[in-house]
Amino acid sequence: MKNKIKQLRGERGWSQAVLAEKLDVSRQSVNAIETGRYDPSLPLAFRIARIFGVPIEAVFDDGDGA
Amino acid sequence: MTNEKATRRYLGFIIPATILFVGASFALKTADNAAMLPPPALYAVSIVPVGIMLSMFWAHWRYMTEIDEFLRFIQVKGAFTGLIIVMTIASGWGWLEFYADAPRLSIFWLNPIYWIAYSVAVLWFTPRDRAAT
Repeated sequence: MKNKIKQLRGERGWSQAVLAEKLDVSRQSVNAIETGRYDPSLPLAFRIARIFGVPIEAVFDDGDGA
Repeated sequence: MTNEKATRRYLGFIIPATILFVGASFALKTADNAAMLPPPALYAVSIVPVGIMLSMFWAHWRYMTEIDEFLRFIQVKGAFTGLIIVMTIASGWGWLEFYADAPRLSIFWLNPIYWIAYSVAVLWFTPRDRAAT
């Protein structure tokens, strides 16, 4: 699943470590999600979207949208 | 609990437990070789390493409930890989013992083989960060 975490993170000047701390997950987790190697659970995906203050669709794209 | 704290607590338990397990196993072997204890006593004393072994699995279970979902995913893959290897060796070598007179492999070794296979698998599955920061 594609995502815009790197872009959203960059716009806010956050490192992976900063985002990981805000989400209370490991930096490895942020890296794996950001690079598309791991798709987060729905609760974690919502938390990521809320941290950035955007709708979940603005962060993740499953490639099946209209 | 943070992932780092959970990992420290896990390693702080599992490393001494492993040393105790190996020590208890050698102590049992020594007691058996020296005929220090009668067989019923050996059965009773063997509860010690078995208890240590069970505590190691308990510590692993607790660790997996404390870490975040991606790290847990890696642990599950590692544990499942260990299970696959143990079951493959147990069944595969068992057939060889049944039908090909292969040398006997003690089932004692399945536990160490599991932990070694699990550890190597976790290292294998742990991602190397591609993009730093």
